[in-house]
This record gives sequence, structure tokens and C-alpha cells, in this order.
Amino acid sequence: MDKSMPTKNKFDAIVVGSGMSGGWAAKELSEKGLKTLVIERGRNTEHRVDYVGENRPTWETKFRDRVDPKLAKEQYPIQSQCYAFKEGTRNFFTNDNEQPYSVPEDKPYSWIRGDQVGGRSLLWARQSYRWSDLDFEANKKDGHGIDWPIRYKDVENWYTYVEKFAGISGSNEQIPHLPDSHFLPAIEMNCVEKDVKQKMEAKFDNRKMIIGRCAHLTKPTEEQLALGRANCQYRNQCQRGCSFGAYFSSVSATLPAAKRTGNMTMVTDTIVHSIIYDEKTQKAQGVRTINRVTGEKQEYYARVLFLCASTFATLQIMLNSKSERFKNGFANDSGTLGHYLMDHHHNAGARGRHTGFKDRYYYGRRPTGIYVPRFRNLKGKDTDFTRGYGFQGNASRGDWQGAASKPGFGADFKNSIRTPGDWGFYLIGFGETLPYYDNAVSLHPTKTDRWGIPQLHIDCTIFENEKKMREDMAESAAEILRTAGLVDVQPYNEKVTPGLGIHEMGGARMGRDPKTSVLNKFNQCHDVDNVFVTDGAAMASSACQNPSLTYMALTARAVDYAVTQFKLGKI
Amino acid sequence: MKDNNQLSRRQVLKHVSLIMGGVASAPLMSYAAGSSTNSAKGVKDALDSIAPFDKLLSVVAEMIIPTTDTPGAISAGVPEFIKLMLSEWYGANERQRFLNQLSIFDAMVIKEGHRSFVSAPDDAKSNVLAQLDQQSNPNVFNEIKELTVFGYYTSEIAVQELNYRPIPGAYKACVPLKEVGRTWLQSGI
Repeated sequence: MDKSMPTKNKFDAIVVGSGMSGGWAAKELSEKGLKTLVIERGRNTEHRVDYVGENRPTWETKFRDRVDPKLAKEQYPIQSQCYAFKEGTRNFFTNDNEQPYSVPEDKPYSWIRGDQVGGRSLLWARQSYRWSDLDFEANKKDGHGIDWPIRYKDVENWYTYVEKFAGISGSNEQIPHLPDSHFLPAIEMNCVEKDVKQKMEAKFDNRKMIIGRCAHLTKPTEEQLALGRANCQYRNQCQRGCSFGAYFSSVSATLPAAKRTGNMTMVTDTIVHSIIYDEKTQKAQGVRTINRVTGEKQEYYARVLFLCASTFATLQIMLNSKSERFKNGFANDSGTLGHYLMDHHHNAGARGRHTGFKDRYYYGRRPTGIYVPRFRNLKGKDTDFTRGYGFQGNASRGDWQGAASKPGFGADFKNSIRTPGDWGFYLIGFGETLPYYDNAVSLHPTKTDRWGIPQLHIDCTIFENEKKMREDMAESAAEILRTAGLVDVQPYNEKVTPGLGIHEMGGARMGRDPKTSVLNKFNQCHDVDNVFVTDGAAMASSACQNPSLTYMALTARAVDYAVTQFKLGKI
Repeated sequence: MKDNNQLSRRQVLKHVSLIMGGVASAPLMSYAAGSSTNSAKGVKDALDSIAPFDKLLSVVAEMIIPTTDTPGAISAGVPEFIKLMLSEWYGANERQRFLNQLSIFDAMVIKEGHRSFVSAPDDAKSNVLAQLDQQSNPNVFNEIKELTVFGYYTSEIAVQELNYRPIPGAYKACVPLKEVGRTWLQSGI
């Protein structure tokens, strides 16, 4: 060991963040025998104990599971824009006043955050899709962004590895550009979804409708049961916390796995201020932290550092880690740190009404919907935009929530609500955003947070390609529903506020060339070989699939490489 | 149940809010429209301004969702819920607009020779609600209806009215409606 390294607060590895990526890094590092410190800026989350909204009926909260508007306005002006923000989930959303950020006046950005042990793995919608070479080769083929340093074959086994542990429910479909995962049994489509699927697939060769692939246990394995996880109970109240552990989160799965090795230490309420860089060894030595509650400053040291704090939080740490060697942010010789940010643009699609199947209904609340994998620009360019989008959606019958817009009042009105309304079907596109240099985050020159850390200034928007794609999303969704015989079909294309896709990515992209990228093919900083970034910041393109599964696979793969290098004494 | 072929403005809003995962229209569910003055005194002042309309709101709510073989809006605490929303969710301007618009109920029965809405005979009251319900422009009755429906079906009474299964335990994608019986009370999250 290097003699200049201190011995107090010394670990083999430090993981910053305990969400989707951090949980995986913690599990893999500690299972491979490294003494691992996990640093979380938020409070602890005790599985089951801290799921305060779970099973709490609407009538037990003042505003019937709506958040007190005064509280929403004063403390959660950004978070309250999230579809999952309810009184029963509020404890997993960050108070917006805790970590302020700035945006240009004409470019809002909604950064949805969950600062707690488990991070946003407690809030995610569980949709889990592999990427394919259609995605990993896209940058090289059409020239937007830089070539990914990896291909599908590099991550294929790692996808399988993380899927076996996490538990992904889905159906085998042999779709070349949406490879099948290692699946637990699929959840079924309802009769209207099957009807629309059949009619759509009969008309369009390249459009498929499949059940949403999701991180829910539908038939738990021995390994999953051993962690205290159980079968999904079909409540679809996942973001309130799932005491059954059927919903994959780092709190239900990866952190308990890390903990049982005896190699993991967790500190909570601890904000990483910056990375300590040692000019002599040219390595990161550890991190400087500030206790969120007491303000106490502390340094922690390790031979390997994994940044998994979520895209923006990781970038904030890197940008704020300035030294003689790195005057413009950590490992930023390329000058690309903070640039090429992406989010999926969504809220364009269509909705319609199905007039059949009035004698059919469903039992239970399915925690997923249907998915229409990308069908545009699969072989060359067949539209006026580049790349593509997928649709999420579902069919469901009307209930009391739409009742106030129906005519009538009195006993007949009340009784009519006892019978479910017509089936409605909605499709919502999730589109790829190209990597643009101008979509960037930087440190604000003057504004700081309450701990003196410079605030982030987030400057992101969508451009022509995304706008053209959105028009097509609305048109093709309407076309699908009309083809299937639905009525009252309404295309829609809502305003985009970047961030609300909650798939923010990029800023420390992977690449082959240190001159144009921050990370190499193992998520390792080109410029500092003992620092790895495995959250969304690493992404060189956004594809159109939900990204969490890819973060999991890249994290497990990066740890495998890092530990090999560690044991060889190379880092 | 009747269905509109034309999608009304409300249904469009409903469509938008479904996509967003929310429920009804503004100002009922919009946080941005929420009151920012709900100090203890502010709430008391607001309740005082609503008090003259307590009876009217109760009567209209119970007419929308009456007692049948299950309890109605009053038993479910809907009038109290509406007052809570008016005093602590609506902003002062929204509340004042709402209260001003309530005068339409009396105005419509006075034209028919009655003294006030609450004292008018049942058929006269029903006529007023039917007229307001059929108007194409959103009016204060539509708003009370939204508040009543939301308040009723999020109350504990609603578990007697609709199908309530907090922990279904299984998912069956396509079953005969008659096996399930009534509409599900909850849709998730």
C-alpha cells in the first residue's frame, strides 16, 4: 500500500450513492471481498419500516393521498410534477429546497430526486429492457455523438447476470433489436390489449406489442426468497414501498446482499463534496464529505472509487473536484464533462376507446403495462428524423375517476359507477434524445447550496429531431389505435419539460478516445484509473429503452473489471 | 351508462390527467392552483366565508350521490371534504369565484317562484341540477360534482359501494365481469 495513504476511515472501495447503480456496486464489490464504504447523502431507509405510505388508505390522509398544496408549493415545486408524487410516496422524494439548482430563464428542467438509502430505485417504474447493437452502433452509424466503446456482446452476459438476481418478468419474443432477458414468467395482457395487438400486428409487419418487461417477482427463485423477497401481490402501489420485496429496489435486494457479506459499511446523511486527488500517485485518494445534519466535515479513503450518485449528483461531484491537475473538473482532460446530457422525451402518443369486451374485466392491479418496441429506422432511415421511440401503454376500464365528467346525478348516476366504463387504451411514446454538446450542466459561478457547494446550472432542451419524432409518435399511436378499431382516438403531443422522463443520462460519457470522452469501455475514467462512473452519467447515447437495466449490467461489469485490476495491484 | 361521442373539455383534461397519472381537473388537483395562505387564521376566515353555503353544499352533494342501499355523500363526509378543499386547497380568488357562482342555485329557483334552493321542493331542485348538468360550459355544479365524486370514492364509505381489494394477491387478465361484480375502487400507486 502507498505509504502516503492515511489509515483512518480507510476502505478498499468507496461507492457514492445507494440507488440503482450504487446498490449493485455495493453488492458486487463486497461479494468479491472488498471492504466497501457506501456513502449516501440522504437518510436511512429501513426495508418495510420506512414504507410509511404502504397500504395506507386514502381516507387516512387529510387530502386523500394528495399532498398538502402548501407543502407541495413551498417544498416540492419540482417533485410535485412527477406522476408518482403522492402523500403516500412523498417521503421518497427530495425536498427541493435541500439541493437547489439553477436553469436558464426560458429552459425549465425538472430534476426528480430521491435522496435516501435506495435512492430512486424506490421510485422507479420497473420497466426493464435490454439494449441491442441497434443502440450501441447508432452513434457510429449516423454520426451523432461518439462511438460507444462496447457492443451488445460485451454486456450480454452481464444483462443475464443482473436479471437472474433482480428478477425480470417478461415474455420471450426473439425481437432482434430488443433482446430477450432471462425472464421470470410474464404477466398477462388483458383481452383488449390482446385484441389491439392482434389487429396491429396483422396490419404492420414491423410493429409488435408485448407485455411490459418489469422488475417484479412473478415466481421467485431460491436466491430471491433467501433475501426475504416474495411474489408480487398485484397491488400496484410499488412506489409506496413494497414490504413483499417483489419490487426490485436496492433496499429490497442489492443492499441486503451486500450487507450479509459483512464487508459493507454504510454512512448516511453524508454529502460528498469532492474527490481527493493525489498528484503524486495520480490517483483518487478518497472523498471529502459534509454531514447533512451536523455540518461536520470528514474524509474517507479507498483504493477504488465508484461514483453512482445519479447523473447530476455524480457530475456535481466531478465538476466540484478541482485540483492543480484538473482545473476544470475531475478527469476532464477531454473538456466534455457535463456535456451531451439526454433524457427521454415523452408525453406524445394517443388515446382511444374500445367499444367491445363490455362483459370482461380484470382481477388485481398489474404493475406493468404493454410495450411496443421501436419500429422506426430499424434498417436505414425511413422517416424524417433519426433513431426512434417505443410506446408504453395499457388498456383499462373506466372507473369513478372519470365519473364526474359523465352526465347525470342521483341514484342512477351512483349505480352506473358500479359498472366499469368502456375500455380505454393509451399509448405514450418514449423517444431517444440525441447527444448534443449544448445540453450541458455546469457549476453556477456564484450560487451555492447551504453547505457551500456550488449549485448546478442545468441547460437542456429538445431540438428539431426530437420535435419531428414527437409528431410521428402522436400520429403512429393514433394510427395503431384506429387500425385496431378504437373510437374517439385522440393523438396528443404535450409540452416537454426535460427531466420529467426521469431518465437523465450523459455528462461523463464512455468512449474509445480520451480526447472526446471521460470514461473508457469499463466505465473507468480515462484520466484517473481508480475512479469509475456507472450511473446514467456514463451513457454515450440514450436509446429509447428505459435505462436502469443497462446501468445494472454496466455496474456489475465495471466492478468485475475493477476488482481484477485491484487484485493485480494495478489500481 | 351513457357515453358521449364527442369528447368534452373535461374529458380532454381527464385524458391528460390519466396520462400524467393524476385524477381530475384544475383547480381540484393542481398543486400550482393550491392555496398558499392556509395559516390557521386564513383557514378560519375561509371557513367563515363558506359557512352561509354549508346547507346548500350538503344538499347538492347528497343529490349527486344519495343514500341508496349504501350510505350517501353526507354519511361519507363529503360536505366536510368540500369545505376542506375550498378552505385549504383553493386559493382565495378561486374560492371567492366559486362562492360567487353558487348564487346561481337560488337564482334559478327564484325564477320559478321559490324562495331559495334549499327550501324548494325536490323536483324543483332536481330541475336545476339537470339544467346545470347539461350545460356545455363548465359551471359551478360540475365543480361540486367533481369534488363530491372525489370525496366520496376516496372515503371509507366507498369500500361498501365499490370493489375494494387492498391486497389482491393475484392478477387475472381477463375474467367475466360478473365474476368480479362491481368496478374496482383502486387503480394503483
